[in-house]
Amino acid sequence: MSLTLDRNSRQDRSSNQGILLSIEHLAVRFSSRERTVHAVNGIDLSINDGEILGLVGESGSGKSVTALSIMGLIRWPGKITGGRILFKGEDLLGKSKREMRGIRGDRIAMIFQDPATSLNPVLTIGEQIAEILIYHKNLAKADALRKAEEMLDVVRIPNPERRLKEYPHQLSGGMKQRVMIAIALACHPELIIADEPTTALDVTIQSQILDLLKDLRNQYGASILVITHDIGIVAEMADRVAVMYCGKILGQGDTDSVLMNPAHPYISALINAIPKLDEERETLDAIPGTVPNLSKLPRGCSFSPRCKYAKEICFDKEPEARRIGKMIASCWLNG
Amino acid sequence: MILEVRNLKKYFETRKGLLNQSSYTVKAVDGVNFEVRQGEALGIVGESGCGKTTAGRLILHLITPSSGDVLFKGRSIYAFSREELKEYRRNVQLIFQDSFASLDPRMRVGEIVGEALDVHRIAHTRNEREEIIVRIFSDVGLDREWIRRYPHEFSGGQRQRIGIARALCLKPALIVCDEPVSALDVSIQAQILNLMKEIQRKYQLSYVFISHDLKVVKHVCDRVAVMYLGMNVEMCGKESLFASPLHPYTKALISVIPNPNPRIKRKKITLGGEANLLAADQGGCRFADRCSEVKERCRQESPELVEVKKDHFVACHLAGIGG
Repeated sequence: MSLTLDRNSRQDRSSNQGILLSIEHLAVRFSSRERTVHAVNGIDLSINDGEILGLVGESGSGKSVTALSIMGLIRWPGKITGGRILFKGEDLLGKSKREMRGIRGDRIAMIFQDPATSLNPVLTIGEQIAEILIYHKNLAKADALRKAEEMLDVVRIPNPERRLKEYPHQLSGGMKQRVMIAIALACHPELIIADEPTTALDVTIQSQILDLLKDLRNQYGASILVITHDIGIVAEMADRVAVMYCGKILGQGDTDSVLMNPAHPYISALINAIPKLDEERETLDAIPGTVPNLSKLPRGCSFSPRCKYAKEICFDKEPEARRIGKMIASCWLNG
Repeated sequence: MILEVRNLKKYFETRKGLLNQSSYTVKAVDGVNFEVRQGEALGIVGESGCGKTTAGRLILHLITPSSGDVLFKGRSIYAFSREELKEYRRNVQLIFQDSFASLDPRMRVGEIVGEALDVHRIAHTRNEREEIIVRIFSDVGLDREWIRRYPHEFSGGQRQRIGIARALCLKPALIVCDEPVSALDVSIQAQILNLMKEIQRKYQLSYVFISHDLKVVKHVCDRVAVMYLGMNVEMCGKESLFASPLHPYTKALISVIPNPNPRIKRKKITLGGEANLLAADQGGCRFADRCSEVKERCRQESPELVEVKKDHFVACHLAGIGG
């Protein structure tokens, strides 16, 4: 058992950094005969070197589609219809499938939500980690397996030599997730995308995994994009936060500013809706209504039908993103 | 006292080995005790494998125990006749986690709710039936025009309201809720939690609220029972649980709940290892291998659930000795 004190080192990280990834006006749509869904509707987002960026949103917000776009994994009926994704200055959207295969797993890696379905059930753990190293680094199998064992140790799996020969079904959920992290880290990527990395795990295991990710960021200097619906997780881990709703980013900035002083009613409403351990209330501040149909978004701001501060202009015109206080938000209030 | 659970145990025999030769016993629920009073909400909290869902199924008489008893208004539910059991089922209802899977996709939602009324012969005329359905729909915040729609036409939160309506229309005394909001977005979760509190008051219900999410349990419940690998490790009123948890597992569980306030730097008690029933069931306390305060006695003797303070029960050798 260990006691971990979270230290406030976030301020130091945000300054003086290079931009690793820059998403500009990204638009992704999914079309069928009946309707078109604008899953991502013009977003601007950047991730700095060595930073943990939290991307928060509820179902249908477009956060997972954003991750898949970065990885070049959008397939029909999905289509990227606009924008650029600059990775160290190069536009990933202009790369061929072959070039993306070279980047995926090597320079940008992804950890998925459900490790049970993301690991190959018929390959041993060792083989799955070695696969990446053989493909990207041209290692011989024996060397790749040796490195795989090292990675299992890095992600704190006990008895790594034994685990190498085991199959995914022999591991618990928490172990499987560590294996996913080992696979993601094997080639020392510059960016790791973690899509709901702990949602399928118990809260005490979640705590271990989040600590592991933070330590690995410190050790390897990789940037991490953490995608989650859980604001508590971003509060604990992220240097900066962006909040998505119906395909748009409604607000982004450093974690402290976004969560303590949100300049967007949706963000404050979302925080208020969470039951708190240190508060006693009779009723929660629920957000009325439901997320709109993504193929029939309301005119103006997509949050306006549910917003208690909405004015006439909110229903009419979509707000632009601009600096409000210490963050960037898309809202007509707050002058 | 609506419900009393006495030393409830449920063991599952399973087989392993190449030719299924060796068998071992999974002690899913291993001696659980608790009570639910009229109008009270009891939370049962724990992580995967703790036995909370199995305990829920035992209470609902969906499975029978290996030993122990469940008393409803003083009478053992496992001794009920067929008629008495049917009456019990009317009195003790259930709300599921997966609202999609628990609603028949080929039935209109009004019919889904009406079916329950028919089985228990609640309404005597068609008008009366319709009236009850409409009223319940309104109580759970659904439009009466939606009675003729199918489940797939609703969102997750709305489907959960339909599930609640179905449970409510029988005017039960107690509802077992198995992770009722875990599959919902935060903003919808808040709506449903508010609704559940409201109808509890209005219909004078008791709840057995099963969840892994302590924050949700704190909002809805009056008392909480914490389970770990089949055993009840702590049980008390919710204020006591969060203000002064006594069991090391409870302390760890509370400490690792992420807080949306980034300025709160709390001390996390990160547990090493994982909860493994087979490894843990070696004779002593099941939490011994992960406990930071473990002593020799803990590995030898399994602690009993004991009332160490008024209405505060703990199963730990070290509790009560300076906490």
